[in-house]
Amino acid sequence: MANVRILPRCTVIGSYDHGVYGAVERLADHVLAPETGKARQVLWRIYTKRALLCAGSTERPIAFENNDRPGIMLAGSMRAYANRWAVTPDQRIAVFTNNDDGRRRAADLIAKGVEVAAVVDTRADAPSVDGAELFAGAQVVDTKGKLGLEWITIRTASGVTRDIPVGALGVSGGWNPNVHLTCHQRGRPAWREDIAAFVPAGDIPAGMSVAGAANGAFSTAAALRTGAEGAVASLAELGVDAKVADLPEAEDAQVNITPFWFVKEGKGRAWLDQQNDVTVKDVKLAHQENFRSVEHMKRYTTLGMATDQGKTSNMGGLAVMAELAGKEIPQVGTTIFRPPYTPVAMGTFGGRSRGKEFRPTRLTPSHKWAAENGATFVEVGQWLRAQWYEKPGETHWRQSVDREALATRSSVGICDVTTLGKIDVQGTDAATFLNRIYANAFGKLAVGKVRYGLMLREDGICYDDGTAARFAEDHFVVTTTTANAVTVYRNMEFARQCLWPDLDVQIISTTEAWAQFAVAGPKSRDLLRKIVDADHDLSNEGFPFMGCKEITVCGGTRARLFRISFSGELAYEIAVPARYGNALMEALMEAGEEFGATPYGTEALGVMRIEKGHVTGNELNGTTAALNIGLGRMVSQKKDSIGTVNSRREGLNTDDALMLVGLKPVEASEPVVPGSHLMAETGEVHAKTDQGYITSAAFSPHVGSSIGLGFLKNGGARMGERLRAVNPLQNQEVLVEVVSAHFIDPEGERLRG
Amino acid sequence: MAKLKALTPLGAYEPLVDEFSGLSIREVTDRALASLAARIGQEQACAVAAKALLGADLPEPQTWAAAGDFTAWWMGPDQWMLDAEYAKHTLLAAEVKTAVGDAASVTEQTDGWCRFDLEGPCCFDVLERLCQLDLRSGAAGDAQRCSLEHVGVFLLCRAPGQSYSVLGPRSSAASLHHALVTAAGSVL
Repeated sequence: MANVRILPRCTVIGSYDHGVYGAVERLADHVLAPETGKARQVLWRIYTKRALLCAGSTERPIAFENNDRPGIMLAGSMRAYANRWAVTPDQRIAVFTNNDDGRRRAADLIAKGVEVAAVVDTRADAPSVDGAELFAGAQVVDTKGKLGLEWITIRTASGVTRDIPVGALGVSGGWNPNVHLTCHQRGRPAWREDIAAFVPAGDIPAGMSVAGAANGAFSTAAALRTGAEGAVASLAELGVDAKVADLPEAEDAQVNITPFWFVKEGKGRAWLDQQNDVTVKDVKLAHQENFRSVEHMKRYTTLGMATDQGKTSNMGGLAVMAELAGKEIPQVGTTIFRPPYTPVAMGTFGGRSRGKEFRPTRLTPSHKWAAENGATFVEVGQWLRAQWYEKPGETHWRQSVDREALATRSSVGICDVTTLGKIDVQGTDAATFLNRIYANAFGKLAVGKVRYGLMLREDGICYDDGTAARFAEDHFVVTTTTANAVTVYRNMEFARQCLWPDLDVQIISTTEAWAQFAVAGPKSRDLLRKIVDADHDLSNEGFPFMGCKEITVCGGTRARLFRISFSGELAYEIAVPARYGNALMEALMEAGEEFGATPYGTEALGVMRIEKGHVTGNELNGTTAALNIGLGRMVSQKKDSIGTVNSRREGLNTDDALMLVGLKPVEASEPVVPGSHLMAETGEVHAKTDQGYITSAAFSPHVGSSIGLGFLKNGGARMGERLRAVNPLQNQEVLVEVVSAHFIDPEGERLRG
Repeated sequence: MAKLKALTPLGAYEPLVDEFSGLSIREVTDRALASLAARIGQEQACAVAAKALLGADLPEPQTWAAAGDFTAWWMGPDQWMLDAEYAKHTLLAAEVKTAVGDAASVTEQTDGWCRFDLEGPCCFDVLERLCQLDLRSGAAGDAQRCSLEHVGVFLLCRAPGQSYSVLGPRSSAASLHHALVTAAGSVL
């Protein structure tokens, strides 16, 4: 049927909410030389309306002394080997059973020409087997053999022991319906006395029904019948009429089991779980140590864990525990069943991803240029950003970074800043909206102007900063930090939809749509004049600090120009449609050759922003309010915005509040180490004497030493004070001086020039 | 100054085509995109103005529709993406804004996205390895949002099992392309 898909070599490993099943298909594990590039296994998620579980049953062993000798196996396996592949572990075997199925195994093997030396049946009334000696009411009590099974020792019904030479022993302790998938949502199976087994019961997963041995219907005829009936019933629930097809004749015999779990005789090890090395004695020890709940017993002994998932071992363990506790097996109960039903390689869950493919990367528009020009890339979230550009002869990253920072401050540097989040905010209430999103005022920002803004959390803590440029009365472009692009967008969407649905405001991300570059340094205007089309005025009067406008570059390419500065220099950010980003980088470098234009990476960006005293995520660390970063007065008290009220909390406004300060070492050769805590010049180093901590540090080629930013109690009033920056983890103490956070141009003359 | 030369999202000068037995994966770089969002109280005016421009009603949730030069698909409540040939509608956002006026907000999205068109009889087999949508019961005209190998995409069904467009964020074009060709190579 074209609409039916058969997945061979596929195991359902878990049943989840709403009829969802997980399944592992093995595509190439059986192939001698798998094709490269092809999947070895596939992890499927299957959505169902109805499911018929025909998971079958697993034969269980009987525990007895020295039952781990090679050659001792489940009788059903022995029969499968003989019937399907004409293989037998030995020509002379015995069978140990407590039910009629064990006898049938023996009959099958005899029919295949295997000599069955003995059928040891624990039932006193066991029926005879043609062609084999029957020991009714007997037990296997021990085994012998050097490299494998050579002898079994049985105790007959009359109490005498007898050694029988055999090379293999098939054990059949009855059958456990594979109820696992019916229990993955915390269902508990019920005990059926007649087959001495747990069967699916109670709250099985919605839409599921169970047929065949998994439901305790063990015979072939019963499996066929209940399977067909189950399919018809499931189809009927889906509104599909169907009828049971003619079923073939099949064996329909009863199992006729008399429960028998473990042989009590003997002092040697009687294994219950051969995969996890758990013996009858281990369960007794668990009981003795008061690990009596079945869940505790499992964890104390590791019985039924991992690969076994209780399939072969659990019933034996439960039976031992029941006997020790003087209970019946159903009173002891089962442990919780959890996916996966069979062991699954972690690689199957991992999927096709290898190494760095595990998460997608985001490439900046000038990635190609950067890769061709010596960039070392750094992961910034999913983005790969140029960290620095190594030039021939440079042997240490500091050389590259110092050169980039100095060149920018002395002439002009270019940095791809596309990763900063860009959010297009439009609507008749766009200004009102931003006035509520930002802590400072935006309502009266003129068209063609950019403003720096702070965003607070509801609790008054500052969580992001950036700029908003007003391109029209009803149109702003908001920028966010790279790290918070998604958070800010999500918060805006929440505010728009849930907090103020009455505001007319529409937002959409344009982060990727525009390639944006910082062009910074005293020669930045001269460089841009060569790129920007002639009819746009770039003079300080025509396009002053914090201006924004739409322009064209390189003979007509649409662009946006912003006069903003992160470095503290005369600087611009220029944006073009992303497809032109790489070409714009090339054009800027070509036009900037006469100025020694230098591309710079995130490292030099960081150096320059520390020199300028600009905050980033290190300072907006989830504990700091606008007051702490020295921008307390930016929080407008003339309007309400998210976080304003809570920023007035007493605890955020103490006299000795942590304030952002600059720090530099007293000895210029010493480092400023971020994470260090600030302590008085002398005295105890202790949490109670802690005065603050260092958030950011870098070597400043401009200052000529390491410098840092940090938070210091009442820091604004402590300029010139000396403190110890202590790093107890590495036994490091550096004497530092408190200075202004603005290491360059504190009056801001450069960026306005 | 020389004119700037455009790069494709995959960082080349020409779009890439990958051929498999039963499937081709073609990078599409000749489309212009603009988002359209109705302003509050202007939903009807937006719909009327958009219809006048597009020549068809704006599509219902989870669907796309095409008429004349334009294709549109639903992105969210009162929000659509409009698509047209780049060479002919380079300034699509401006064009749409002129058409809808104050009834809607329009934002250029052309370079925010990369697009791969999957064509051939094996689309189901490859896409079912990549995303969770029930594509086998889908129809032509479906436009759905889903995660494809950890990348959020729009998936447009042009002919069930035969023809789809995948639009993802431009910066992740390389990762998205890698996912598509790896899955196709594994299946086909």
